[in-house]
Amino acid sequence: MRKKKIDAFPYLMCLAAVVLFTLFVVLPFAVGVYTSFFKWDGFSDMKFNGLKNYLYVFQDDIYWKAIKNTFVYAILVTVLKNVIAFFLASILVKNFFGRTFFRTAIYIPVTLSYIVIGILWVWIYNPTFGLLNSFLSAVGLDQLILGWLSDARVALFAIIAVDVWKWIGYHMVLYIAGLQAVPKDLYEAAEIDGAGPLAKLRYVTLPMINSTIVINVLMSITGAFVANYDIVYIMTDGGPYHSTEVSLTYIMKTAFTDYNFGKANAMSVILFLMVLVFGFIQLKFMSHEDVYD
Amino acid sequence: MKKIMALLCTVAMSVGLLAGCGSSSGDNQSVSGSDNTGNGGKVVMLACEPEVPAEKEAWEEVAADFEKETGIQVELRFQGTWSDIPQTLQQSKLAGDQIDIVRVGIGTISSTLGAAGGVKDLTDLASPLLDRYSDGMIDNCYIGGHLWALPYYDASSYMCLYNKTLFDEMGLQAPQTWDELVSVSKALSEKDGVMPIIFQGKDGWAWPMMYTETYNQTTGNKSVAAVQSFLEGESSFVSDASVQAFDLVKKFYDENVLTQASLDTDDEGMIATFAQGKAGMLFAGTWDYETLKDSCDFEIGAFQFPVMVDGSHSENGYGVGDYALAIPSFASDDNLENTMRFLEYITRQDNAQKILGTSTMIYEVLKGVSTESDDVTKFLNSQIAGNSSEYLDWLWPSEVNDALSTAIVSVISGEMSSQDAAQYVQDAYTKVCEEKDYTYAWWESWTQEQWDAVTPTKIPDLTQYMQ
Repeated sequence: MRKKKIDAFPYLMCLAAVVLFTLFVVLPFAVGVYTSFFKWDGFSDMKFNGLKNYLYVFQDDIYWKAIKNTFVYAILVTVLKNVIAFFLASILVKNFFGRTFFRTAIYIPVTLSYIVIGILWVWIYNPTFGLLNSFLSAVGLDQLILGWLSDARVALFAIIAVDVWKWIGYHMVLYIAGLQAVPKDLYEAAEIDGAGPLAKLRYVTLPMINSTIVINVLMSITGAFVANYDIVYIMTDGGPYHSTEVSLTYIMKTAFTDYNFGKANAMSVILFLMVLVFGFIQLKFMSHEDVYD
Repeated sequence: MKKIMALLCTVAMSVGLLAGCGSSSGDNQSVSGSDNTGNGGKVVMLACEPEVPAEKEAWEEVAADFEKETGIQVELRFQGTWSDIPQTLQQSKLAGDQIDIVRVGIGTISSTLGAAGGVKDLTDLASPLLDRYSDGMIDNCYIGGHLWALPYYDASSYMCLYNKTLFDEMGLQAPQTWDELVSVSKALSEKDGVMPIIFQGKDGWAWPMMYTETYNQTTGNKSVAAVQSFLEGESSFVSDASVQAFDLVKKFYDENVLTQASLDTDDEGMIATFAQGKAGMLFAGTWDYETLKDSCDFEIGAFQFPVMVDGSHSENGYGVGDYALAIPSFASDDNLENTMRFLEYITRQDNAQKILGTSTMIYEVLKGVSTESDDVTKFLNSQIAGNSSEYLDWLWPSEVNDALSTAIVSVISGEMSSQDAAQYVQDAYTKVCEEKDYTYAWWESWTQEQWDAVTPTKIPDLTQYMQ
């Protein structure tokens, strides 16, 4: 019997990536899980603490408030980014004069860092000098003037608006690519069958760009869960009274302001598990093959 | 052949990436191997990025002069902000990097680094240098009777400033009492486009500044003792003094001395608002004075925080040691002589003048280092420095400070009563005791082993180098 020859080349080519991933993702994660069972300030010796850090996290109201804010943030950002980006892509996929200008203008915020964006919008929201309140005042809408970042009722939404504004261009480009790949004859066939704009959207466009939607939603939701630290830190640092606290800002404070690394790692593990379950459910329900034939 | 080339490229790329992650322990070994007894060797100082570029240049100039005089090389490692330093120090410790001096706030030593055994006891090491400091300027750096750092920056305090030009135009006087402050605020509010007082209320950490001022008065000017008693578990934070102090901060908001704008304004916004004449007064820290002075094209005056409690007097938060020089406990004792020689060199009057003189100095921390001579500086020296209490946020742990900040904003916004706010702070203290085994007087419960870890094994004779 002839022994099947194993080609080692593909494995060797993957080896570098696997080693780097193990060193910089798997290993730190494992160390994080390990230290979550210890009391550790980062300087002194670690003391084994069992599951107490997890107990402290479950008893910590601010953490759960931050988790709630994180979910509100993630869901709103995901919905708004995708709906607005898809709407803009539907317009900007068509040929008209100035299309390139609008595409570029909408995409520009993507190229700016959160630091620049955060500082820019903090000034726009500023109650004394800010453009927003000045504009509202100029058009006679004084009743809408608010402390955008100091009013606990609106501060989180003010940050969400900035995040959505920053990333719309990116998702719009992906949607444009998806829409351009939809065969034109499908629309012609649908029109012959008497389909209106909504029916074409429902039965042609959305099924045909499903993979684009899945990618966009997945990217925006994971981004909103694990990449919201910078913008929140710069704009409000979680305030006023933790109304804009998200899990990452609270984890960072617990680790690097309070020097409670064990508890911070326990928070990270819990967040990881929640995002894992959320991502799994999302993939399970949303992913199925596109049919272009 | 293509496969071999691809593999080689992959290996080269991976090795290149991993090489960048290497520890600098090799460098340390070479330093340790050199003669560290005064002829050659290296001293490494970790500090945050200086606020003014000129300070960095001055450090480099003084370090170069030191090397010329002693043959000891100095590596100045400026990175991040002041709040990043403990984290960077910890990373350096884990990586086995050489750090001989760290520039860190004494508040951080008091609440974190000291308790964790992160810095050496300088009591004997630095004793020959103490005469170089002005009276009282080193007191904050003693914790539990031991010296943990040497102040190397201006002292700071809270301050109330006003737009003197505007006040003169409107015929107003700087307020001395609460009633006068309310009256002046009313007059300013009636002037179009001017708010009475601006404060950086968007920065959560700033609210304890205002609370400190009211708490000083409600405790009968015994705030430090009251806080120490609370932190040692001898008394609860839920007391008449604490509750009344919350009420008094809220009074600023209720009587329109502070407006909604302050809740939405950060440090830069506060300075811009005051400098553009959109606020008649300002409550801030003296660390903002230099920027304010440079930004304002009108005359600035200073006044005392008003007396709000009968039988007490105005007392301002004050501290020396915002940026103090400490020696990490993991620094090698073999290099202590070089380290102490550098500390001796930079605390000489001429060298201190070169470095500290790059910023506006308000208080004379090191003898002979010149300070500003304007009216505000004179007022701060005559009225504030001698009539002050230590910053309370240098005493309590960050969790309590965060709870206090949250509670104050909640009280002002009407989300929480003053009684509930005091309870909220007390709960934060209880939590930190449970979760971190927090002890205020950590030095009292230290074992001999812990003391040994921070006590230098040799004390170099600095007097032979002193001029």
